[in-house]
Amino acid sequence: MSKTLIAASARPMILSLLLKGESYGYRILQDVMALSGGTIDWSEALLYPVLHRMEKEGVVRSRWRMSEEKRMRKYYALTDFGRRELEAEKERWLSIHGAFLRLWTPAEDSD
Amino acid sequence: MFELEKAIASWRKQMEADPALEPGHIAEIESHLRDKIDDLTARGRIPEEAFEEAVRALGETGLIGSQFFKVYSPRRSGRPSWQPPRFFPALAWNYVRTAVRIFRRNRAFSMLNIAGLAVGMAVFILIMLYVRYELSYDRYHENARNIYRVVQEQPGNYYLGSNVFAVTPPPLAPALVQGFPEVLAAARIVTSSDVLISIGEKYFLEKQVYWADPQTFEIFSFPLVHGDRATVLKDPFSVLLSERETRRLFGDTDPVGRTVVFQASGRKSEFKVEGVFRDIPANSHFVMDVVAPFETMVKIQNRDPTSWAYNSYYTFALLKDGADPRALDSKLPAFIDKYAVGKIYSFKGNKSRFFLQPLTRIHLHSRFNFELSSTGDSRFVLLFASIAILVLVIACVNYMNLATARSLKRAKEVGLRKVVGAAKGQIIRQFLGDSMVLTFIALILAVGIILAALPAFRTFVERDIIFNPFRDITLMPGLILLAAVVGAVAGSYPAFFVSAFQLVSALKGVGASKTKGRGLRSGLIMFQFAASIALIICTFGVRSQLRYIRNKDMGYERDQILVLRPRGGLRTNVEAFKTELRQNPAVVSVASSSSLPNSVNSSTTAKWPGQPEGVEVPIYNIDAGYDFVELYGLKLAHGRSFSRDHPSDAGGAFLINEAAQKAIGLSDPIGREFGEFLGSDKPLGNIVGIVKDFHMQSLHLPITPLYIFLDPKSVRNVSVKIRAEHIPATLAFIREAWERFAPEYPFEFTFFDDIFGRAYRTEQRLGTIFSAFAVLAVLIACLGLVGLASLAAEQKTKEIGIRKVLGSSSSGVVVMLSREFMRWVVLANLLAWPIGYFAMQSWLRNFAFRTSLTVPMFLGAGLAAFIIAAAVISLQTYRAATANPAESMRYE
Repeated sequence: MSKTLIAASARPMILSLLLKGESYGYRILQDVMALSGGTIDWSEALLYPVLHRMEKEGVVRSRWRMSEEKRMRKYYALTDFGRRELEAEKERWLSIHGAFLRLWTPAEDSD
Repeated sequence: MFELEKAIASWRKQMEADPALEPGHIAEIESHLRDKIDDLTARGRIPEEAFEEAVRALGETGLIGSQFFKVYSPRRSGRPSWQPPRFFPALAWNYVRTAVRIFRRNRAFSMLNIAGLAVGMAVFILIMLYVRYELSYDRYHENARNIYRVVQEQPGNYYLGSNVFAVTPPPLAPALVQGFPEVLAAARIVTSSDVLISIGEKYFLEKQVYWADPQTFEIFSFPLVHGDRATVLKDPFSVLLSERETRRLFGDTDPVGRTVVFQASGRKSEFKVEGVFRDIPANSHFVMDVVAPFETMVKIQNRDPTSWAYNSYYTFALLKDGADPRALDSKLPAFIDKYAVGKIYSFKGNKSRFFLQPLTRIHLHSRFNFELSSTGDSRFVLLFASIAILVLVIACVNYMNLATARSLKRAKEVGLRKVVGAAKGQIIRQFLGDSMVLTFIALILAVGIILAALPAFRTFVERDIIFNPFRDITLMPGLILLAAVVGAVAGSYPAFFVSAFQLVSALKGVGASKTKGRGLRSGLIMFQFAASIALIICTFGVRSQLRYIRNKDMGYERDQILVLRPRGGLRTNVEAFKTELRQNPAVVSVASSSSLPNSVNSSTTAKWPGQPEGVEVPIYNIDAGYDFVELYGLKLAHGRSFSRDHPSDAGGAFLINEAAQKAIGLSDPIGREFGEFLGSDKPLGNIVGIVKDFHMQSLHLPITPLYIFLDPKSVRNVSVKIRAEHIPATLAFIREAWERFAPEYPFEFTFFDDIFGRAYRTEQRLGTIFSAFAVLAVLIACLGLVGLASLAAEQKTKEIGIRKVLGSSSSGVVVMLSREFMRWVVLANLLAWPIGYFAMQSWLRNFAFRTSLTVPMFLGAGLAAFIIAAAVISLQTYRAATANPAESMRYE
């Protein structure tokens, strides 16, 4: 998959995953892997700069928390602004998706 | 034993080294790392493997850091604050000031440097303008890429050194269009020379009239000012004129519809002007001012346009876009066989082979027989271009040497800059910037040199070259690019050299160690001198051949001989004209002939009784009147010359040269019958004598069989031998006679000696080129030497002091300083001699008669370079050698 596509889709993907509840970097990666059946392979460490940028934008917020396995992890959660952004992102991606769908479905006879 | 915690700790340390990563970032990534390791060990990896794999999956540390940096830096991209900027604007003024100070302190030195670059660039640009011009020939036609000329090779039929002929039979063009769908159009073109044009009472001599098919204007894009492209030349008595020709013939009046009368070979025909075309640019092999229909020429001159035996016409073809000319070539033999059964010209049973030649290659790559106009020479262009590049490289090398030498004086400056924090890259950029600025100053100077030298250069190359950077859209960017490249190339070595100075020694003012870069610099000097010496050898070689040509006994005389080309009334009345000239005692002798003894170009095949079957002797011929042999001082080996005392001569008499006698194989040919195959109107005659071989063509060609036939009616040339005294008066007398016989033609004459010299103009030009560039190369190489010698003197200040204290003389010091460089100059000979030898050998091979290269030429070239170099170095080191040793010893 091309780098630019991965970069473009990272933000809506992360926002959507966080909609289910707060999560941390390593789990986000694993969820993405599982969701895509292994076809989306993010280079691991670069997820963190992305998360930090999103935090700076204000779509997520983070906190350090001790996990059940007694390990300190940085958890990310959606902000209200993030929720709205996700809606906007969803609309954009669905419209693109719809366009492709119409393009790729065999056209019915127009006459 | 692998310990996970230790491994993670050292990994963390590595991450902490990146200034972009804050502890929080690292902790987050560490927790990620630990999760991953846990996962991997859970899947059965041993800890060491799991750690390594997890780290690898994280990716490169530097990349992570820079991504984090981008998130937090205010600018989206940019340089992290802890790295120095590439350029400090605050320092810019300082750079300029330093450069100006250095320039002022070494004014002479800097001038030399700039001058060297300027001359190098000026020469390069001038020559490249010439090369570009030569490559531009005939490219202005819209269809230029698809236009071809059909030429023919006649295997074995060597004529003036080539067996390819630019001319073809007249039915070829129509046949091509009929036979091949990929030929869109084809046209025939032929020229007549010396046509007299009259308009009312006014007469004009037209050097060349073109006869062309109407398709010519379909194939070529000669823009029409008046007239209709679709119909021009279709009316048999229509004529087209160029704009300049219109001005010449009609002044400012409207020419369209006016009548002009052509008068050639005693026939008159009327034509009506039906169009005017733009003047043909000079970079075209067409020199066309007057064009009339081809079909009319056929009728006027009573030619058979269907004959495949006439090879006199140029055939041009326009091919379809994308058609393959080579494929067409291969189809031609079968095609010709079908269309022209048995009628095609064949030489000794070998049929002509026709092939297509791209229009754009005619000027540089042709050199075939019977070209439409004199063509250029790709070898000459190549030679010119390589010399241009050589001169530019020498100039760059020179700059490198001088700048490096001078940079040592700037060692302290560089040291100080480094102390206050300049990075290596900064110093490199500063010095590159310096050389760029100098190069641009040199470019401005070069433009001045070009403007000053352009008129002379234009005359020299005989091309109308224009230099106007403001009009010429490619020239300005080209010049800027050239200066940038030269600046970068020439400045790179000094910049890297300087930036590598060791801080401590630089502050001491020493700069680089003595030996650093010396091998390279000496190598550069050797290269410069090798180039110079090779050019000097070439100069000697060409000059020696020119001297050989000048002093060689050609077998004919060439002093005080005037050559006239009779025209109009004179042509039919030559005998009376000759008799009149002979009245004047200043005229020694008068003789007419078809060609001159230095440029015989008519050839045929010999025929004689008893000729063995299958023996064919190609033979050049001159038709000449009485006195021709005596006027030119041709010597007889046997027999006698043509004589009025032998009335039988008028019935047909031949002289043959020794080469012809050998080729015919008769031991005593005098009195035997002789003749030629072609042109059966010429009767057989008797051989009355044998002339000694003389050089009837240029020395490029060997002496081949020739006959001279007595024909007083052959009057293309009238040669007049005059006395050396009172030449202006004699000329006035001849002019007056001419004007009585041919009043409508201007009086024109040439000295035979000039005609002779013109044949070797290319060689003379080559001689001038080599000597000019040899001088230039030596000059620039010496500039480099000045730099290096002063560098050496500078570096050896202490050594010189010690030597002098210990009793060395000044001259001893000069010798010591020079020895090193002189070694390289001497070694340069080893490189230059073989190059010069092979270059000159291959050039001399073009001559059937040539001088030989002698040892003194090589030694002389080497010695000349040596003496010049020695003089330059001694002058430069003399000051260092005569300095008071106390001064130099005080140093440090």
